Amino acid sequence: MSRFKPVMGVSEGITLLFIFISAKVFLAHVTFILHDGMNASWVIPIINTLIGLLGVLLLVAVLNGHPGKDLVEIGEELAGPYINTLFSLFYLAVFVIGAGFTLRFVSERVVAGFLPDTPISMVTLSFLVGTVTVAYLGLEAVSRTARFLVVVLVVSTLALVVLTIPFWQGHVFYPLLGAGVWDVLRGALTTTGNYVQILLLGIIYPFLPQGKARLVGVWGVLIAGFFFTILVVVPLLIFTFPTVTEMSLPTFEMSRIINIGRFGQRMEVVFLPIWVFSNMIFMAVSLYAGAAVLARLFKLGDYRPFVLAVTVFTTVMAYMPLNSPQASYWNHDYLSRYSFYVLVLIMLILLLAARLKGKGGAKNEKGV
Amino acid sequence: MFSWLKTLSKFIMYQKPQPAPSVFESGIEDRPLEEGEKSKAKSKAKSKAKSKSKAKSKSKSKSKAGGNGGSDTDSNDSGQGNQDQHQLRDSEQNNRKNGSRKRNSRRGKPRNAAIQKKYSDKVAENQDIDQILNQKVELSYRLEENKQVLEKLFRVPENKDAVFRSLSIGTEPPAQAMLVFIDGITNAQVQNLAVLQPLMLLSGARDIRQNRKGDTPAEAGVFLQGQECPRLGPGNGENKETAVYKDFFDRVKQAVLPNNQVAEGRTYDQVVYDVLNGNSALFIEGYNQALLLETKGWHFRSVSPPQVEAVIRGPQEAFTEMLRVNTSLVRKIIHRSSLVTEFIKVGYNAPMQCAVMYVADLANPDLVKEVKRRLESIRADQTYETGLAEQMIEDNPLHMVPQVLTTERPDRVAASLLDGKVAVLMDGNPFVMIMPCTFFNLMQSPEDAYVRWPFGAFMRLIRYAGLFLALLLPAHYVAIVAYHQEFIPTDLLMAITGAREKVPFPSIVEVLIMEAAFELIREAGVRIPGTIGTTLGIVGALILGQAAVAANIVSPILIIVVAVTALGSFAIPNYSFSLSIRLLRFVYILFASLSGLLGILVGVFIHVGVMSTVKSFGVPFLAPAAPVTRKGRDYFMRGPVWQQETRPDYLDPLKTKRQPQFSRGWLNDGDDKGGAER
Repeated sequence: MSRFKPVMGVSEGITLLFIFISAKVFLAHVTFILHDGMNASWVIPIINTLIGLLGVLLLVAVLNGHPGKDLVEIGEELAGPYINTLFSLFYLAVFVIGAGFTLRFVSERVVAGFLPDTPISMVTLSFLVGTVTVAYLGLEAVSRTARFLVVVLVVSTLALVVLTIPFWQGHVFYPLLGAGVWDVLRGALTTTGNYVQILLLGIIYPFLPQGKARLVGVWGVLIAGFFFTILVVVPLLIFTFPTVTEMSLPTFEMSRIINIGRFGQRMEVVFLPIWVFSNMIFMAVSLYAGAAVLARLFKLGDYRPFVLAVTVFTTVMAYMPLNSPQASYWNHDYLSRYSFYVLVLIMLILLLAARLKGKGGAKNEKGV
Repeated sequence: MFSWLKTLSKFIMYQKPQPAPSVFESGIEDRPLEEGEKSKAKSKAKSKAKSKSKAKSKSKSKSKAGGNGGSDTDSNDSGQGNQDQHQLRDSEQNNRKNGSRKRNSRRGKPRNAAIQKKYSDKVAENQDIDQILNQKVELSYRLEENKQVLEKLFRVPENKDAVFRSLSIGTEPPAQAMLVFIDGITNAQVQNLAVLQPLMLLSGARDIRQNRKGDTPAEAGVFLQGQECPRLGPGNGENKETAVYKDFFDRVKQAVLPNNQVAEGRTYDQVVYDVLNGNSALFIEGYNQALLLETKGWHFRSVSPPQVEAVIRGPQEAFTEMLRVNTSLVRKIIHRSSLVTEFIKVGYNAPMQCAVMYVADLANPDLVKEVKRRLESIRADQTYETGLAEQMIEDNPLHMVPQVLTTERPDRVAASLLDGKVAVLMDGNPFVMIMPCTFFNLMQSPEDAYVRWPFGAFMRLIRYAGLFLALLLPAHYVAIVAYHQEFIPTDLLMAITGAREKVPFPSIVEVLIMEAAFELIREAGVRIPGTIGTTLGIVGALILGQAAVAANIVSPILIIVVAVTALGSFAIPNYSFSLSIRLLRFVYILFASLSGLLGILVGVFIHVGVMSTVKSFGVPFLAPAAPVTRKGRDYFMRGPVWQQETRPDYLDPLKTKRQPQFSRGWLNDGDDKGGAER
């Protein structure tokens, strides 16, 4: 059954990866970049993308040595069950923490912006029902849903950008390097965790067409980088520094200022699908990937028993912060800062172990 | 003196129930228990002594009161005329007492064992007949024996449809024969002119028996009644003279009968199937074969314009209830030797003839094999309609969306076959199933291709807008009125609020009332006789809507919403898909009432997620969008016809290329010859 051995095309793989990496750009993550980079914030996503590309190439190097196996299975083979358990817990933490804080933040924002009289538990439940259903249906369902809805996301995002052109102010780029080269570089190096989600490639690798992992990874990171850069630059162009750093949801503020004649006001509802769909895809991927990691860890053939368990972890994680700003800060502190370096370290350990054991390292993309 | 008063008071106070006498009585809840269930019930009863004693006392009191029973001796119902009938009924009721409200659902045991026991002789006879058919028992050499068996199979003499016409073939001496057919579904003229007349009058003229040297009547296998057939004698099972006998049989087939289609049947099963399909079976004394003659002749509707898939430009022909007419309508469009029509019997108890059509050099053989495998495996009781067969062969029966495309247009079937799809035509049915089917197929109409491409693309766009409105407009109304009032411009908000001011219901109730009323009108409009259908539409749509607004039950805005929703649903070209959208609309309304626009978006997310798991004969339902496969210029929007160079690759056809890159040869110098001249 394809439920146990899903089939995924290159296009779906790229879509899934770039949405999983860049969904956070519609939330508060941009604000942290704007804080760090000031007028030169647009440089940070570019540097981050380049670092993300290096990370993907490293990951693909590990994966290509073991065709047909995902990162957890490779870790088990190369590092042994005990060390691999630590690695797997890290992967699980990335998925669960990311999904949990996203769930909390987006729920709070929906309550604040769209459903002020609705209890947050109801909103959270709505998100969970949708994401758990699709995650339970499997990777094919998640990836195809993402591929089907990406048209809505991309068109809405580009419309959001284009409709704000009248509000752009060119002088915001100056001073060109903000507080200085080192500050910008420091800002970039401390937000590399925005690309820790490339980890997904290690989970979906066995289901991708053979020899296409690098293509999927590189394009996934590049497209995500494009949206990261666009959605850092445009709020900066509209609201200018430092006003833009005071916004918890810059994309929402962008949608609010759009004004198309007498009837074209209060357009934020038109862009609601951006926040809802992007974050639901993010959470569905997280739930599936978390369940898949647990299934591999416990050596079970089916991921489905763990979907509900990961959902419980995620919900608990969502309600740990006191409020939405705290959820954003925690997410930034625990995921967006240094987690990418931990992932790189794991990859290096695995590559080293492969070299020492004489397994995999020298194989090419097709595993030959 | 006051006897009349006594009678009157008795009449008023109490009347003894006098049910209408009927031999047949049935009640599913009162089915009697099986033996196993009885013993189980007894053991349970033993373990509960108190309840047992109570039950006993109750049954005794009932028997004393002379009720409907409780023991076997209480079966008489005094004062009733038909003693036997009542005994039968009472014994049934006695049995029912034991098993009241307990069903026997254990596997392997028939539920109707009591009925089977009661009519054991009938059941045994039916089993014998089934055995003859299922075991494919061969025909006998004796005409009389064949007749007896066939009479048994066709339930003659009760069944007056089956006709056994005895005749003598006009040879010297005459050969005894029998023609079997079902009256009413055969063409009497064909039978008279192409079967009976040649056999009875013209066979002698051809001297069919004397062509071969040494063919005496006995050697030729013609035996008068009462004569013993040498092949059937004791210890003589083998037919040593097959060649001779076969010769006469073949001569009848080849030289006497001018039917356009004649086949040979060797088993009762074959004969019965053909006879039930309007053919006639000719038996000749001394031969264990029958000639199955094409004499179909039932009445059928002539080819008429499509009722469901009407187009302004394009062929105005639709399928009929005649399978052969339908296949010919397709073949009329596809002049290609590789167009194959295979016939399959579908169903178990009343098998229907199905035609599986495909273009052999285009359709993927695995797809054809899969379609045939599924059809052949159907063991259903009834499969006389494509809708029934569809439910038996679809991949995901629990999903809302149709996974088979049903059409009544031969041109659409032809276009699909040329794409590499497979069509299934069913006898007696004007709708044809096309498989596989994707979401985008369900939104296409043949007319998209017949008009110039910008208009085709525009019509398709309108249709998608209709789909969106039909599915989501009422839900959006609920969401905006209940949750997101600030998202609409102030003037419009004032208009909506003013219109809703006097409506006492919340928006969800208001919408559900109107949507339910509209569905009621639509359903009634379909069932109602045609002459008053228009009246109902006017009454329902205009007067009811007007009255509802005047009574402040609903707002005028909602009437517009419901009307636009209805228009949207009518724009969906596929009826089954439209039904699923109609139903899902209520789910979205519910989602909207729970969480506003968020609920709708969550619903869309789940809907897309579920649809992405659906497959139609192995093809993902959302292909070629998700998963992405190579897209032609005819899946979402309609592209120019000269640019549609490839077939849908999700079908994996044997030939991918539909036409060359430069399909308009006249544009290139020296390459202006069409397909026929190349």
